Amino acid sequence: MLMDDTALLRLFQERSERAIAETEQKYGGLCRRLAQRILDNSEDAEECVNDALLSAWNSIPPEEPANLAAYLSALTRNIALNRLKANNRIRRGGGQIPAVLDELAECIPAEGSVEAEYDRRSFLAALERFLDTLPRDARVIFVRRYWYMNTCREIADAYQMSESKVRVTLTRTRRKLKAFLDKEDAI
Amino acid sequence: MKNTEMLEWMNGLDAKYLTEAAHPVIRQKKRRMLPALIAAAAAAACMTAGVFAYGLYHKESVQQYLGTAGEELFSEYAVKGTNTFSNDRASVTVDALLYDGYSAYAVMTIEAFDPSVTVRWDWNPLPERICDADGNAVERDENRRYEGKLIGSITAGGYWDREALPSNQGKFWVNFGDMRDWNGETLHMKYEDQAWQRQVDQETLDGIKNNEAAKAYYDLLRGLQVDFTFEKNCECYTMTAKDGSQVQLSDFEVILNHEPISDDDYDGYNSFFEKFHNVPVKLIYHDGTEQEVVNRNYGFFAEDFSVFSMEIATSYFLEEEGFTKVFPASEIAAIEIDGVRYEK
Repeated sequence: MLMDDTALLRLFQERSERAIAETEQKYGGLCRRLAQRILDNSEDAEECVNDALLSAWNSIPPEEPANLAAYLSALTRNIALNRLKANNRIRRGGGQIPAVLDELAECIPAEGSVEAEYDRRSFLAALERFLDTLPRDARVIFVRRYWYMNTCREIADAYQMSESKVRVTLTRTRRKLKAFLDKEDAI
Repeated sequence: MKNTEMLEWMNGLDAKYLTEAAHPVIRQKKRRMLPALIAAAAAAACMTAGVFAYGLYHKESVQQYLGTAGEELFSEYAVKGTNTFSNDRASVTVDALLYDGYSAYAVMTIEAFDPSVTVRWDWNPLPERICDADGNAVERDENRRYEGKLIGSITAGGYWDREALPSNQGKFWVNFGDMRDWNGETLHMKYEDQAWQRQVDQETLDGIKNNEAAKAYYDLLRGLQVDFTFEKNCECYTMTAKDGSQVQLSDFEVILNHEPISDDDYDGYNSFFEKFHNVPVKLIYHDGTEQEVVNRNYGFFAEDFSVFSMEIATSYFLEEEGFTKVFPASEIAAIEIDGVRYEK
């Protein structure tokens, strides 16, 4: 029986070591799969999950994530990408990374424009404004692909649609994102 | 900005987008209905297990998807009675069913009688099989109609604050795409017990594999029949622009076209879709008040022969405090869509 998130967070707050084991049992698979999609190496993915759990242990408290699954996923994603970067492998990938990077390159604002000078915060704010303008279905497909690094096949299966429709949707959304970022005054 | 930075920076995306993406929007595909034989075998179970009762109403479920103001408005003039259907393990209540003569929007609550059972937000709240009143399977004819009546795409989903609701309860929305033939009629639908096997074996945000969750779900609901009775209960007005073009404004949607779009006409569908999606929309009331609303178009999945309608609401995310998605059409004098004003 998996614990609910409130009980899990209570274990973290009480500094009970069961927190790690119970969290691993509930969310280990989710994090492992995400890390595997990024790193394309099961040993690295396993280490990445352990690091994410340790990071959760160190950060909760004081953090009180409203959504534990999203919090752990973000930790895992960050650690996995850092690992690729540290090994100077981010461009060569693992997993879904090369394809995802190629696709995201289509969304980059025009070189030399003021709008190209996004920093992390302004980009995130702009991206969230953009996502809010999308119909729900296009938005979830985008997030599944570029945040969760799902393959188009996985997205198609999850949403009971054809793979080609997923690809067409992503292409249109990327085109719109580029236009949006080109126009958007991010500062 | 480089693509590698974009990829990394995206890590800080608000959890609401991640949670939303982890919620499957379930799309009922009629072409994937089970063979009649399987449904017929399950019919007996349905007939003995199905119990019908009146009286339950989950106000919080309706507020989740219509907003507090929407729920108050809707309960004032539209709810004539609520329908609860149950077997010995669970009940399904149709808490609200808005129907404007074109399409319909329902709110449903599923409740397991065993408090230790968890109702999950990624369950498909839709019964799979369309049947007659006795639970016998009804197949679609070559004109894609059920007993002469067209049914557009049906989509459903659910999300709620799990801390605020007992774990054995879940609240879901259902969008019926094109139900023009159903005024005064009842659509009977039944949960099948084999359907879980077709679920994709993919791990969800809760760390549970979809097919395991789906099996638990069908164990709970199998054989249960739910009836949706469509009685037009929402106002619907024709609004005309200066150039003569028309839309229909109802209490919960704007109907943009009536001509079915072919399954194969993907580009035609998309050009229509792109013309209207994400355009500014403003409601102008008879007293002169103006209200900007957002276009929450769910039509994207409904490409087969549906009415193309625009769902409007006060915010994109329905869980936000104080949103509504029901507007009294009788009080609205005009609607402005992408700068074009349509008047009664």
